[in-house]
Amino acid sequence: MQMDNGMITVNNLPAPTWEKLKVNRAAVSVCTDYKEASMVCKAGDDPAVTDDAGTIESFSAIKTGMGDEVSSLFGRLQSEGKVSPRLLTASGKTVLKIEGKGAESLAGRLLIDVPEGKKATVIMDISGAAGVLQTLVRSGKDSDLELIQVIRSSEDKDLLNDIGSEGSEGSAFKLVQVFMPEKSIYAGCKALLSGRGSRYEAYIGYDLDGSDVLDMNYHAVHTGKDTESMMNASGALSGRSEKTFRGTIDFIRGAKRAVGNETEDVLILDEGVINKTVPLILCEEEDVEGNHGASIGMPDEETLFYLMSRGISREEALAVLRRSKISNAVMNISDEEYRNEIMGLIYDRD
Amino acid sequence: MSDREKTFVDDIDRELYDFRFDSTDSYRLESGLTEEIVRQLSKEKNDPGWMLELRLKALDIYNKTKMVEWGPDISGLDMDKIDTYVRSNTTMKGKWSEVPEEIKETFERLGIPQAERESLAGVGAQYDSELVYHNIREDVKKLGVVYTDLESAMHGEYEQMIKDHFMKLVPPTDHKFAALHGAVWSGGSFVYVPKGVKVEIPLQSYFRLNAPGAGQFEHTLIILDEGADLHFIEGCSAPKYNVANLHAGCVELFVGKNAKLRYSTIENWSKNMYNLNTKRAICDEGGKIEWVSGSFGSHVSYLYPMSILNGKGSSCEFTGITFAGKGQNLDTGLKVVHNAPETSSVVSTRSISKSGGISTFRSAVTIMPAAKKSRSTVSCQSLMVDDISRSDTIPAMDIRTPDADVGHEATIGRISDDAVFYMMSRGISEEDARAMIVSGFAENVSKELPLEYAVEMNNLIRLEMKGSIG
Repeated sequence: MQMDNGMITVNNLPAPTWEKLKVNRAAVSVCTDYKEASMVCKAGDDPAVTDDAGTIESFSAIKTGMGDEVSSLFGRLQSEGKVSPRLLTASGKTVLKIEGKGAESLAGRLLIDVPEGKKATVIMDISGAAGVLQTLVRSGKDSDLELIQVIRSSEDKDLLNDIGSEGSEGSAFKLVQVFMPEKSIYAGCKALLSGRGSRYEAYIGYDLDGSDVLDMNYHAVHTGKDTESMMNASGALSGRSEKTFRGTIDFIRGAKRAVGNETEDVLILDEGVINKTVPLILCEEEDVEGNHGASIGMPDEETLFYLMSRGISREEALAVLRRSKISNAVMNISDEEYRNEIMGLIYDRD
Repeated sequence: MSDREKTFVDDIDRELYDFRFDSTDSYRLESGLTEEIVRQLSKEKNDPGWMLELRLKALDIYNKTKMVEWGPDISGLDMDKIDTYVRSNTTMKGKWSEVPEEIKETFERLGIPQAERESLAGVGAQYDSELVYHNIREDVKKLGVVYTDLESAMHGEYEQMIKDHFMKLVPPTDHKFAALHGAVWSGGSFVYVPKGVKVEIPLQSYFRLNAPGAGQFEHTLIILDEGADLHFIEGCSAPKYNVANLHAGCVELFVGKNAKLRYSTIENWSKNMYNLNTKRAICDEGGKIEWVSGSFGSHVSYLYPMSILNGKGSSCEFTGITFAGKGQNLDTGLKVVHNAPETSSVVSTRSISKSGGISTFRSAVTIMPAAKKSRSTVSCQSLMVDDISRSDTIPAMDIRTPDADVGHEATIGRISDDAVFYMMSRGISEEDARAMIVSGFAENVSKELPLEYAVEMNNLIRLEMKGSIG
């Protein structure tokens, strides 16, 4: 692990481009004093600490969106006894609460094993957290996992939120992430679709204000035949916030009849915002279909006019549009109760 | 579901372009890149003092600049083995009849004199490091249009204009091969179109690199005054050798207020060429730059025409196609910077990969805070003809104002089996059907070119697509 003055490199763009654009990677600081994150289970089975070397090793081989330096950091923390990976054998619904306090830096590693044929929902409610969290997912044959993360970071320090997954034949992995940072969040997810017919969907919503920073790297790697991926990011930027979204659809030779789609929809509301969008398609297989689209800009004046003609102020109309962007991800949460809870949180922010 | 069977299509000879003449009579500087070589080159060209100074500074920058860590591998390019200056035993002529026979025959076979007679307002023909022919029609000259070789212009009444613009848009610090160009540039054209003048018929420069192991570093400088209008066409080719050739040219385009410049290129370098070219345009208020770009040749290409929209209401259109065949790694695309209000950019590109070729579309769209009410749309479509090739799309957008509208879309796929079947059911062979589909895929570019160039482009596509079927 390269650690230069407490800095590591994360969110590496799978195919780098001009350095002047400053999108090839992000440099983040890491501390030497992490406290283990507690994962309080509010529903379902507790993820138990595992010290099974074979299990840890097999999960550790899963590549993640933020990159090898984060995995190496966890390797070091584990060997120093500062972090113990927790294994969750997912079945039914599990709700985990991870809460940070003040300026403490947390480190937590969750291994999710979805057995063959099982359907599961895992909700991770992350609030006030700073530090580094990593979730590694291994989906068994014909399994179906919905992983929901609602992330409100600490005001004091950065949060690194890293995910890696591997999908077996016929498995489905749906990721829904809602980012409401208070400072800076660095996030990434790499989904390896190696099993024939495996699927990956990612719905990412964000609402940034002030001097919030959200730096993301999402990578769908198709190696199996008949695999599908869909990545959709939608959000709003206000104040002097800064957002970088890297989304890569990667078709490896042999991934015949794979289909990958990616879209990003960004609403920019204020001067001083910086938005960077880098949607990649990498392809070495002929028999595939890949599409991406991005739409970035200000609120549509006709839509604003329509809303205001219904008697609401321009400010409230802008707030409606802003909330609608982050809600695009929330609408994909299948659990109705939790979905309503998150919508409530979004409204409460105004 | 079973895997489909493939049709194997060979590449065929590019005989139309792959002819060469003995270059042993040519004058050459020794291979490599040293201060001594740069000074010798400057002396050969009778540079004014400021140009020698620029060359030496550029050489220093080249030596200190690292190679980029992205893009195709160019480890096969050894500057110590490149002859940066090769000159035939002739001076520049104004009539084809005065051009030495072999050189004239070269351009005859490429159709340049014929094109000039039939449809061009002026032609500049460069052979290795120097222009061998330059001419402009009298009626165009009478409008005040200047179209001449850059070196003559540098010693005449336009010296100050050239000094004020030369490598100001693409400074030697831009990247390593811009610095190389600054050190060893030779040949190329200077064009000035006065205020309000519309040049109805295109001007063309054609670059032919004949000598093995040589580099071509021509510089094209075009200045359009307020309200001027010009279509400039650029073509290039070279015979194939077993050693590397290098092209590191530079194009700087200054588009004045309410002026319009269309810059069309059909790039057809041989497949041993490293094409590391830099093109950039800057537009004043209301100015418009249109790029039409067809990239078919080279072993490796790094090519990203850049447009800086620096005046209110200025605009850019980019239409391009890249065809990467066997042994080719073509990294092409564009950059646009919106730096003024109400600017717009429209980009439409296609890329095709076949026979193990690698095609990369790389772009950067930057909307600065000053670019209020600006719009940008980028559309990029990639076609893979087989499963041994590669196609990558690497776009980036950096948006710094809310008052802009940016859209981007990209697709990748293969030739539709249904479309091929339909055409075969009408009696067309599979080979012809695939060639026609690919030509249709390239239609976005061909419809923007004058007919003769569209025909050439479609011929190039057919050359790449057709052959024996196994």
